[in-house]
Amino acid sequence: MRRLALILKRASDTTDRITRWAVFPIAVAFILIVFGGVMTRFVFRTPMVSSEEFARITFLWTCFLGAAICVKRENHIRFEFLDNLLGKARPAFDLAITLVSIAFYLFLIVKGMELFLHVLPTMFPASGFSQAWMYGVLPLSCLMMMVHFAYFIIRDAFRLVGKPLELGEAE
Amino acid sequence: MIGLLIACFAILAILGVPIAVCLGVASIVVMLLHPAFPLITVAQRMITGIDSYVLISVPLFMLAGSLMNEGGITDRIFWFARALFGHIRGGLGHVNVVGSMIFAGMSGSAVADAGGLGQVEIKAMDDQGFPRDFSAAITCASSAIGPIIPPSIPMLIYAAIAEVSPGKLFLAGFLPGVLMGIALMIAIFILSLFNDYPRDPRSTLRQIAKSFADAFLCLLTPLIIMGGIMSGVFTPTEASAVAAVYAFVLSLLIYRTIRLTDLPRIIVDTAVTTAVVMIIVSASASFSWILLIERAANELVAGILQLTTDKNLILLWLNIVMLVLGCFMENGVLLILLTPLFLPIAVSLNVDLIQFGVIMVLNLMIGVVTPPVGMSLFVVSKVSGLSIGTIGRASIPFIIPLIGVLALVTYIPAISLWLPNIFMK
Repeated sequence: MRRLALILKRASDTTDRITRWAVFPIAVAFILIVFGGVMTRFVFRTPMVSSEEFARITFLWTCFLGAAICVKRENHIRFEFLDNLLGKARPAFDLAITLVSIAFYLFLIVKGMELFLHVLPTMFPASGFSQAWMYGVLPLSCLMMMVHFAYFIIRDAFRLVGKPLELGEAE
Repeated sequence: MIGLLIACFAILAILGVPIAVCLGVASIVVMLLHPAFPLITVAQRMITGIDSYVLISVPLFMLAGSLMNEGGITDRIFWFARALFGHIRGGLGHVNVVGSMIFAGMSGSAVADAGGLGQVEIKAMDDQGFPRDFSAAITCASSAIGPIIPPSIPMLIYAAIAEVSPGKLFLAGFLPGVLMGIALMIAIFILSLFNDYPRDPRSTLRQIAKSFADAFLCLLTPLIIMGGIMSGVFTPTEASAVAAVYAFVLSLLIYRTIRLTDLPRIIVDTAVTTAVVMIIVSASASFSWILLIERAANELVAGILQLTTDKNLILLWLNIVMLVLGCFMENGVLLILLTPLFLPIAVSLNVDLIQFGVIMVLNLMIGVVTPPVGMSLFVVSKVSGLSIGTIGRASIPFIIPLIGVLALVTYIPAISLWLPNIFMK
């Protein structure tokens, strides 16, 4: 079991590293596209009509990939009223919360893929890009979250039986 | 159906499930029981909920704030404010407020203000012998001005949900923000007289000129942002990109306080901070859609109007509800949840939606200062090393004037509507 935990942790760390590498150029492109929109309109007098569509696509990618990093860092906003009151029941609660989250994101992978295939032939009016570029990030980012959740389940299960894993800090 | 939706959300939220998941799961449960709602709508609205050109500016203003904090721009603002206001009784308290007002014109986030300027301010106030809880409380209270004076991240979220002009909303926040600053400075002055808090010697003209020259390029930021929007040179979204690029040029090329190697970390952290809010906006889209289809807001309006038709009384209730909820819930979450519910009430009362936006954001910003849940409170607690309870108690004298300003903004529409009516008719 510990070996499986180690493999899942490595998979989670690698996924996180890839996500961070991907977010940086996408976010930079996003900034440059919005800034470029102003420059082309007022400095070069030739408005870039497709810049708004590219900005929306890169913004969505930045948000959803950022959300996958949030899952890894476990800093999605949640109420913490019960955390201090739970005592020994805490690991069981953590496991239950992880399972609810998995059910939700699994649903989004399935429905997100359906949506992705549905919008594949639909094009953006200005750029001519498929709208699948916009919708594709939903199942992809949820898939990345699943890798983290897979590790969290096994980690929480070890805590539940009173043998917390000591595999080193996540990168 | 509405009862099930809200009960599902509330139970999961209390159990500690992430808010975005609570909103999504509650929507799915209701849709499963209601065959008329196609389940794919949840996934579709996750995307369309944040596919907004207005929301694009949120990470850009956040990035501008982060670059300015990391690039030491906050230090220059602090020294400029100190040269101007340090000599008044309780000097560094006033500097704290004025610094926040200037920074508010660049960033638009209370947390960026509390975390960035807060560190410099609390240390300086410590060195001058101010009690730590007093310094922390002012830092916390003054950070609430950040999202009121334009630009403002919560106002952008409100503008996207309410479909109002973000430019008008920005302008509407200017006077209320200045009033908040003045109200806090009066409170500081009175407390400083009673407690004999120190002040700086009056700065010479040469010192003021030097601090102004040092801060000059930073001080141009609010002018570029608001000047650009008001003159129609760029939209609020484009203004956010200009602000981010300007902050980048200042900190990386002119002041050279940030290295190129720092950029990936700053940008990824900004993406993550944005995602924390956006995933909730995204998941709330199907939740709000069900509320809309089930005419929840209309029923709420009808219920309230049955109790009273007195506009002033209803506005008072709304303020009390928002202030109380603001103590217990994160302000961004509240804004996303309450805006679709409260907008029809504002419409039925003939309250201008721009004024109502300022009222909502002001309420929720007071929430960032009040315990037990307040983002600025958490940040200042970390920076100052004091408990949330200690800062919360010390903040009471500053929360009262902020509530006073809220009352003025609620009952005198001209405070928020005068500037947009002049400049953006």
